[in-house]
Amino acid sequence: MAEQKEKANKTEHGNLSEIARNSLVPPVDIFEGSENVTLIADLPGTGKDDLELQIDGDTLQILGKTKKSSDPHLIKHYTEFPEKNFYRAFTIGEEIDKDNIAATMNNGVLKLILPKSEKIRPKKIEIKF
Amino acid sequence: MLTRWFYDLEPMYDDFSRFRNELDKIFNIGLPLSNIRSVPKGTFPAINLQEGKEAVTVQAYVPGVAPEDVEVVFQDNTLTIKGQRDTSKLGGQEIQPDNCHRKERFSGTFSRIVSLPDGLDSEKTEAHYKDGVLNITISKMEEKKPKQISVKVE
Repeated sequence: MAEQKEKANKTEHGNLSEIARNSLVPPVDIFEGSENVTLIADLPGTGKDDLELQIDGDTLQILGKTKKSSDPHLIKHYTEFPEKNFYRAFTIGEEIDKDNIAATMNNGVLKLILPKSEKIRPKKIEIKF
Repeated sequence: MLTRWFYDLEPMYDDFSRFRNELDKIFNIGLPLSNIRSVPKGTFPAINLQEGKEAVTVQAYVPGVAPEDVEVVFQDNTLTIKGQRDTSKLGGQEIQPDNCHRKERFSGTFSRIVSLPDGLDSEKTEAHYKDGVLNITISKMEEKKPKQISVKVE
C-alpha cells in the first residue's frame, strides 16, 4: 500500500513531496479570456533551457531550475532569495485543450497560453425565422 | 521495528511535516536562518548580496522588468535599485483582466536601498541583466583588497 503510493508519487525528478518541500513556489497570474486561459509565472534566474513543463493526466507541472553560484569563497551577507528550484503544479480539467498549449519564456517570466477546448467555448446560436 | 514503522508512515509523515513547514512559514518561526535575511512576504525585488575577494556582487530578482525600466544608483556605500513593473502587460501586449483567477505577481513601482560594505570603488561598477536577474558587481578599492604576504625563510 505504502509502496504503491510511493510509486505514484515518484517522477523522473524524484519524489514529488520531496520536490515540493525543497522548492520555491513561483507567484502566478491567471487570466481567463473567451478563447484561452493565460498563466504567467515569475521564475527569475531560469532560462528557456532550464524549464520543464509536463502534463501528466490533468496535472500541469512547472519545474524551473536555477543556477547555483559556483564560488565557495564568497561571503554571503544576505540571501533573501535562496538558490532553490521552482516547482508548482496545477490541475487542469477537460476544459483545456492539452495538445495546443503554448509556452514562452522571456526575462524570467513564463507565459503559458492554455486554449479552451472546443466543447466549452461559448457558441452562438443562430436564430432562424 | 521503528524504521519499518516510519517507512510505512512516510507518505503521511511527509504531509505532516509539510503542514508544519507551512505553519512555520506563516508565523516566520525559524527565520531568519543564518545568512538568510528575513524580509516581509511580497518584498520586491528580493536581493542577494555576496562579498568576494575582489568585488561585492548583488543580485536583484526582477523578472519581467525591462533593463531600461530599472535604475541602479551607487552612492555613499548604498545601492538603490528602483523601477517599475506593470504586470498588465507582457511583451508590449495588454492582458485583458476580464476574468482574473489569480493575481499574485507584484505590480507597481519598487525601490530598495541596500547598504554595502566599506571600501568599494564607485568607478568600477558593472550591471548585467539575464533571465530576470540583475547582477551588479562593484569592485573593491585596490588598497582594500586582501594582500598575500609571502613568508621568507631566513
